[in-house]
Amino acid sequence: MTAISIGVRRSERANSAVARDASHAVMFSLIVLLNLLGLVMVLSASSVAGIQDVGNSRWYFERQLIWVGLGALALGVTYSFDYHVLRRIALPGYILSVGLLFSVLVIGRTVGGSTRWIDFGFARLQPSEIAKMALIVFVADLLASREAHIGDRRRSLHPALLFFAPMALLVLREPDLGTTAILGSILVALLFVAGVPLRPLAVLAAGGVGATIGLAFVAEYRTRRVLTLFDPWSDPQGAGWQTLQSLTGLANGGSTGVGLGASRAKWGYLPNSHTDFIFAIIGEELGLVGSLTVLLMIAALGLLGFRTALRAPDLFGQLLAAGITTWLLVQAFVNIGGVIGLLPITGVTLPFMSFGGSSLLVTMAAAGVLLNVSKRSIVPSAAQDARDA
Amino acid sequence: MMVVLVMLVTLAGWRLVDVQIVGADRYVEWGADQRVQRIEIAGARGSILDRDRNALVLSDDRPTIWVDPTFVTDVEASAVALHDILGLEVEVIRAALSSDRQHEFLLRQVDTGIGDAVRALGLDGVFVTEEPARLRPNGPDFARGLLGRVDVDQSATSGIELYYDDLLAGVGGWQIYEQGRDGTLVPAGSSSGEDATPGEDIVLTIHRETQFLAEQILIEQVEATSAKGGYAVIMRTGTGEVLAAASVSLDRDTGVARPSSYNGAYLDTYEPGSVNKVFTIAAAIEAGVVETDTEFEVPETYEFADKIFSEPFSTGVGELTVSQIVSKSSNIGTIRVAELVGKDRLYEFLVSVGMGSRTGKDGSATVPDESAGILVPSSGWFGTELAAISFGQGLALTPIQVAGAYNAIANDGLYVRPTLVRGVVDREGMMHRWPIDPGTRAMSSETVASVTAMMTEVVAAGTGRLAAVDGYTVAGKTGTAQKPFEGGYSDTDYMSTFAGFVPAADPELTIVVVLDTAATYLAGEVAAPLFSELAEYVLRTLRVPPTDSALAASSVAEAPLETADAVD
Repeated sequence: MTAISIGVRRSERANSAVARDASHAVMFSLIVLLNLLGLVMVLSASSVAGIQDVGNSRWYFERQLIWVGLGALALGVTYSFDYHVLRRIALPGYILSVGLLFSVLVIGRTVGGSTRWIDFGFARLQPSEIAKMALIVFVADLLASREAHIGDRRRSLHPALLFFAPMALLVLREPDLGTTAILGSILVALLFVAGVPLRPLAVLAAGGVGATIGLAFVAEYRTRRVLTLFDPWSDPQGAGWQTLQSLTGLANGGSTGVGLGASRAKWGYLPNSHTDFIFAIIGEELGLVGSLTVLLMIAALGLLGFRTALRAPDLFGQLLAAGITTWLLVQAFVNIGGVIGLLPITGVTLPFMSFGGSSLLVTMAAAGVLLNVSKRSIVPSAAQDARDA
Repeated sequence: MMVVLVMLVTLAGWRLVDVQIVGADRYVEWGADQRVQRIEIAGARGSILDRDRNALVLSDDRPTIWVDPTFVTDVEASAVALHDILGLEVEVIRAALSSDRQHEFLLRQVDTGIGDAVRALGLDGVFVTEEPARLRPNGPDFARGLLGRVDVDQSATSGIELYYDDLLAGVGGWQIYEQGRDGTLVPAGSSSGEDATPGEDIVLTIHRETQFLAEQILIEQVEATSAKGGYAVIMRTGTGEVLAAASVSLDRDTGVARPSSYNGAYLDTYEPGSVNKVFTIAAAIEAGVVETDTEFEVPETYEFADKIFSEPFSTGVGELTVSQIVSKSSNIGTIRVAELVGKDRLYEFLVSVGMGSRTGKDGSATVPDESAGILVPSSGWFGTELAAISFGQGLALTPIQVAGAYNAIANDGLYVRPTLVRGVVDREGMMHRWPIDPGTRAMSSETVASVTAMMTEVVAAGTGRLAAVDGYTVAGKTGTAQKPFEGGYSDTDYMSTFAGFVPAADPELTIVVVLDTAATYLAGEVAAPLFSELAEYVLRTLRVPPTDSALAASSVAEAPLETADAVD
């Protein structure tokens, strides 16, 4: 990481100031565009479900509109203050989120066989969303404060793992293997960026991947999802249904789509079309053009996010940016992977676009932090100086 | 990390291209299969009208009660509530409500009131939709065998309904649309279709009141004589139009007779017996081998082709004129006349009055499964056939053939095929008349005059006296035919026929009545009075003016039989 970082920094030395402003603005624009496109697609995708569920085709859209507004506020807040403030709430945030994860298992609402939500009446909170952010802030703070001892795995890797474990186990208990995998990815990314020795980290990463695959076959419902992933036609009316409907929606879209609002999949064929499967509706209504555009926008956001990490003024900022970017990217790919039939369906949302209140709110807050770090990017030489000091 | 990112984007992008473009067909096809629906729309079925365009059968929408068990919330309560309205067994309803199919009919095409009552219940999963039903404003029994049936899905199974199904059914339309998983129409979906074309109305030659009278009077007589059944055919003499073709069957268990479920007047055949003698005599007069007063020695028994013939009913022995042979209905006398005619001339004469072929054009059927009867060509008459056929054995006719043949005499020697359809009314309400058979000459007017005089004598002083109608001169002939069975003829089962026309001088109506196995079987006793009663009613209904001077003065003003036709 260090070697690569230096290489990049040197090449960008000449036009750093302009580039920084531009990437900052581009990142902000991408987040706004994804949100707006998400709103439009939720309006379309949820219209049928809205009528069937509550008799109002715009019911989900109106709620999403409120959540986007609240998300924008959250982004504004997390963007404004100095992100170092977060270090002070790292431990309380961690404790709070573990507490919420514990309580969800006790008082949570069970939907579709898993207990992921706490129902507040007016809204449903998914504690695992908060946990992602809390994990990033807490581990970033932990590693940043032990910057000098990163090479000592007992002072970096082991404590990070120790705090990660209860969180991961609680989410796994819901059960929510998809989010657990995202949490694991975030942890590995943070440790990697912090500079933890590569070999134990590689062992950890390999172990995590192995455990995920192993767990995928432990529960029967997951096994079916994995098996139908390889051949959804084997059970088109059962376990393969959702994947087939998703792929059919995408295929219907062809190159330029069936037109905004004209999705057929949303007419009861594709469950969760406005939440976990919004990407399929995008591909159906806007075609390959639309689906590739969204894919590239997310990738661009990811690239700029990593660039922000490289240019962050300190290790805490670096870790925040890298952690948040990893989170958004992994979650996006786990979601899209499920939609396009490359990964099992796990029930995670597409960041910024899927319908979902607490998810959107936390994602927007995280995006605010990412922009916050980006705002404080410094020219490579200055960054080097700051590190040295 | 960036490398990983680029790889993931590439992988996802490649997969998108594969799913959305390269390998899309399989998914698109599968999606269309589950989404695209094609429904067939039947054209509104045309009506069957009588000659005055009164509806005999018509189509209208009626409520149909059906259930979608997946939406049913309370099987027990719903079943009980429906039982009260529909009268179906609770178990039957319960089974439908808990079926694993998505569509179960409870009752189809019920009265509007029942549909409204079910709607008012507002039960989950119980639906009331309108569907076209075939209605019979004159009751379910009226001419039912003749008109035929359509099943509950509006598909014709018999009778006029079946025979003219192409005209009545119209041309079906279709509709293609896309539906959501719960069956709702997807507004953005592609749709196409073609409207159904309604069918045309068939206008029959049948006269509603006459048909009704024929059935009612026949029913009374069948019940009164404990007959197995009976037939009545009433034709308009000049045109051959069938005004009524009634078939009645008796239920032995209940003693109740009702119109037959099939069109017996066209489908059943029987050995006509003595009613056939008229044609033997007519053939002889036409051939010039006898005259009305030619005398024949009629012995008690007579040998022909090694068979001894005798008279089944005592008719007296001695010298009989041709006219007496007819009025006394002598078998042996008729055989002697037939010998003079010869088998070829007799056969050709019988064919010329329609025997041996169906009543449609060129021997085609007028109704489904119409029988051609049995008439062996004279080249196959090697033994007793000439003798037997001359007095009505060894051949089989349908009641409609008997009527057609008698109508040739009534119609001044011109045979016209009995027709059942006047025309069709197209969708614009325009009547299109079907051509009337111009007819073929079967015998001369002179022959007709001679035969009519003999037939008048039958009613005036012979076996058919009970066929007389006050105010009108009736010409006719009785026939009491033993029913054939394996190896011989029955001594107890007879077909009793009276065939004739009225008024004799200028016939308007040709009428044939037949009773099958009446308890008292002499045609002159059971068929002749039936003829009289029927003729009297129909003459009055159709306002045919009396011809006998005494009654003519007090009769109603003359009105044409032909009722006004709105268009032509």
